[in-house]
Amino acid sequence: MNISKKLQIWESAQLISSEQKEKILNYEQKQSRPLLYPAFLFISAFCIGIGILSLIAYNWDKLPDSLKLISDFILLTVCGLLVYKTTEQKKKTITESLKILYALLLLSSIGLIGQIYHLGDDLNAALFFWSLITFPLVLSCKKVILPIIWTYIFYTTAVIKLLTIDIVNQYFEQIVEISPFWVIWMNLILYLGIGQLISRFDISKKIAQAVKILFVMNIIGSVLFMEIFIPLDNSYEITTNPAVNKAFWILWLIGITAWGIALFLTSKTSRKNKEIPYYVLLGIMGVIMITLNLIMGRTNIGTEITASLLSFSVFLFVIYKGNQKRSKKLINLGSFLISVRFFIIYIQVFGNMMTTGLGLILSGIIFYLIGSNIYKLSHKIHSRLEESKHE
Amino acid sequence: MNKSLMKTAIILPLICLISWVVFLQYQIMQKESIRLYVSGYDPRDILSGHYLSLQIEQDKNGCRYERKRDKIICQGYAFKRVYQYYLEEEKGKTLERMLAKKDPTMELEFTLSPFGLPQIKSFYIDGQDWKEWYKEETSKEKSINNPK
Repeated sequence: MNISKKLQIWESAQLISSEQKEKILNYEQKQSRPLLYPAFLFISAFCIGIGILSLIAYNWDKLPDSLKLISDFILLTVCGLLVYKTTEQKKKTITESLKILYALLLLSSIGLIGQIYHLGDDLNAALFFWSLITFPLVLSCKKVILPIIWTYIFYTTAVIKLLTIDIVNQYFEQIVEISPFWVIWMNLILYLGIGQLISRFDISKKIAQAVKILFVMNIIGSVLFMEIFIPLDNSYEITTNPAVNKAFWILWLIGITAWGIALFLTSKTSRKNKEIPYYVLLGIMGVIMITLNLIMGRTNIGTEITASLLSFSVFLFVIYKGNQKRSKKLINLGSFLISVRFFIIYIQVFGNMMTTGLGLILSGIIFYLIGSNIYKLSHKIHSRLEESKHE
Repeated sequence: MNKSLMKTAIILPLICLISWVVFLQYQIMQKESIRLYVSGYDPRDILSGHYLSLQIEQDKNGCRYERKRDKIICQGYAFKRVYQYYLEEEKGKTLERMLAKKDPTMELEFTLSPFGLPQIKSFYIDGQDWKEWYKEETSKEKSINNPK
């Protein structure tokens, strides 16, 4: 609901006078910033940057290499100076757009140098190098777009670089064979842990925010991947080899320890930033993933139910966050996603139609009971807490 | 805003890139060089555009393959198995067609620097610089297609 509608309701409920309503409206109008201008500015910076990349990729044979390099460095210098000048003039939106353009120009320069000296097609190495040299630029960012791109590229290319080391690659392949879900879980813990450490040591607010956004996107991506992976690879079975089974539990023990360390290290900031629910969600996801890994391929119903529980836990978390932020949109989104997942269960058919039907009815009753009692429960907890405080 | 951070953010990448170019230029200016027979095709790299992917011909050059490092050893220097030679998009396509049709001998010339990293210097087709070969072949094709 927009502010004028809300004010109208408050005025009719005689909470505010019409004079106050006008004053608030005038104030809000003065405070409001143009939303489209920065959006278009960012898009234009992206387009120009990628356009230059494409022009360079065309490889103008008629231009001598030295001329290409000199023009490129002139372009970089001009863009760098513009970034500096607009920062001094405190033109935030333009500066941030120019930073994106500058970062893209740096990437295209790496491409150009690679082209002139025929350095090969190692895109990962090029992107990793780019992320290293643009780190100070990302630290200076006031908006989150470039940090999101940077963090994703840095994290991914660093992991790929690590995997090019033979021994690391060998271990990684073995781990994927023993427990593919462990890799997904550890990736989420790494994202959350890195984000918390960045906020704790106050390295960069924007990078911390970017890591958090990527963490949420990774949760969605992981759940989607697992929901697609499971029906596709139902043949996956846990081995009965005792040595491998032992390795499986050792892996998860390491994972749980990492989860605990991340939680312990960041407990102060997490309390302040209300991050603990994310750890709880990760804990629940971890338990589901272990169960899933253990029963996968043994019983189809068990595998499907456990996999769907993973989605439900994430969607319920969306509702929880919505409630915490008092956002009706988030609550509606969570409810919609849960309904869609239930409908998919109906199409999937767990076992036969009868078990599916009974399971769905039972789930419906459980949801009704939770929904109807949640306020009573929280009210009871609150009043108990108040009582204990008075005592 | 921290001014020194802003200056570092702008200048550091430039210094890195310039140093890189200087290093590569130094390598390419080395006098010692080696020419190796290669064969190839033309794919595309999203960052640097079209290139000829050229594979070093082990037997023809009298080199050996070292599995552990995944490198080809020629005259004591370690080479990658495949190299990329970047070309203008239009020329890349035409050259790919010509190479498939004529099957000429191809060689890559590498400079050999003290850092032990062979770097591509030139590309030869039938013993000629590729640009000259390309020019000759396209004019031949033109005269066949448009006889006076």
